[in-house]
Amino acid sequence: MRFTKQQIVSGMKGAGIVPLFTHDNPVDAQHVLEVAYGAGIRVFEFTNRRDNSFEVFGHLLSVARKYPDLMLGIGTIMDGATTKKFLDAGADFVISPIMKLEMASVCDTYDCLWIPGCATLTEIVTAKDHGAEIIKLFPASVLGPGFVSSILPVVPGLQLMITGGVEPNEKSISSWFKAGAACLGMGSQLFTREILAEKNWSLLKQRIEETLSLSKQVRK
Amino acid sequence: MKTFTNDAIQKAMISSGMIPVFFHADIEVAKGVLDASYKGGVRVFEMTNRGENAFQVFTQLLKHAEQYPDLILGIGTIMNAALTQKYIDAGAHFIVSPILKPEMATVCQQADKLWIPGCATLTEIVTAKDLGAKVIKVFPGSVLGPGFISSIMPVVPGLQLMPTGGVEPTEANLSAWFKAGVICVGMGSQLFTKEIIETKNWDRLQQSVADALAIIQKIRVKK
Repeated sequence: MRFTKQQIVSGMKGAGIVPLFTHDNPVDAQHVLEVAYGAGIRVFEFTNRRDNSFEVFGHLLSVARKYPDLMLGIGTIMDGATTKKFLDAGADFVISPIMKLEMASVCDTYDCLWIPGCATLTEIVTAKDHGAEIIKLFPASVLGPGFVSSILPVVPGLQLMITGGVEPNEKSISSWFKAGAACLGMGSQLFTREILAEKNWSLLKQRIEETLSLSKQVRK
Repeated sequence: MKTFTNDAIQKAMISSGMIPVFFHADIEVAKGVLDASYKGGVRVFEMTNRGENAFQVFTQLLKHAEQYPDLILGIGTIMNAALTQKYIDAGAHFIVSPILKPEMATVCQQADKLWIPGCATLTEIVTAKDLGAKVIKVFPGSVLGPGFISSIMPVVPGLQLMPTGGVEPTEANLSAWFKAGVICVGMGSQLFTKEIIETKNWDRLQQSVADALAIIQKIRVKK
């Protein structure tokens, strides 16, 4: 692995924001990745949601190699075989919307960070017992910050990545960090349809910079 | 005894958009509700296994339903494999559960019956799908909300979801669920109100059922 698990976890918590994104056009995907890097992002999740995501991800990995401190992981992975395929390609970490234990074993073999998606405390603790250092809470908007503040006293030390419906504004960001989130995953709210359709990279850069600065500000 | 293919049941669930969920220990009340629902346009009905005499009521209701050749009658609130087998042997057309119990999948698969497990997280839903569930019940629907459906649909496209629990027969509520991407909704106490059942007001029930189905058709045209 290019990065230790610890480096990736630190990178996620440092920025507080992990962008998640998919695109079937490798050129546009590269633009988004490089714009995000330019705005200060160091941990980026590309999601496996299109037919050609494996090819686009391969292209992004080759781009990412130009930036020695850019950690590029793959998300929306649902099983062990796909986990292995992306790890062989060079993914720096693996994220899933579900808690699938066979993925834990594969990631363990590669000494790679496995970030499963959980939605109940039972799923979260099961994931933790299977070695998950960071757990994705999904879909977060359904559970709400109250879910996080309720479970953290019960299982102290949980590192939760909040994904699904987190908004790039102070109210939303601050409510999740106050509840105890380790970091926030942000997708469609950051990479809006309009921005992508217009390829408005300068607006995207500005949006990411503002979001990162909000994340820093509310955690002071 | 009538039989339906799983495909035919799934299609009927999608086309009507609403599956009534009901139990009553009095077979005459159960018949009244089934008749009114059928007359209101329902073609897939879920009777639930929630009382001591539920099995007797269900078998009598199945017999009663023979007069409606296109009425599909399944059993719900089934929690284990033994009961699944018992109701399949009795002639239930499909099996619904509020939980995800893999042993029920095995029994349904052997009998080639539609298994509709109840799930409350995406992990449970994908596990059910991997075990062969074609239609998955999202329960309790009102706790998860339409936002749960719209969050997970882009992640696992093609899911066939039926929220149950707290679904209301209003345009606002139904429209939120269908816009989020469900294939149909399960509706129980919101449709079969205490008042309607106590007064055995079957005409009114038939009207409520027809109204709910009409709202769903209207929403779908808009969509």
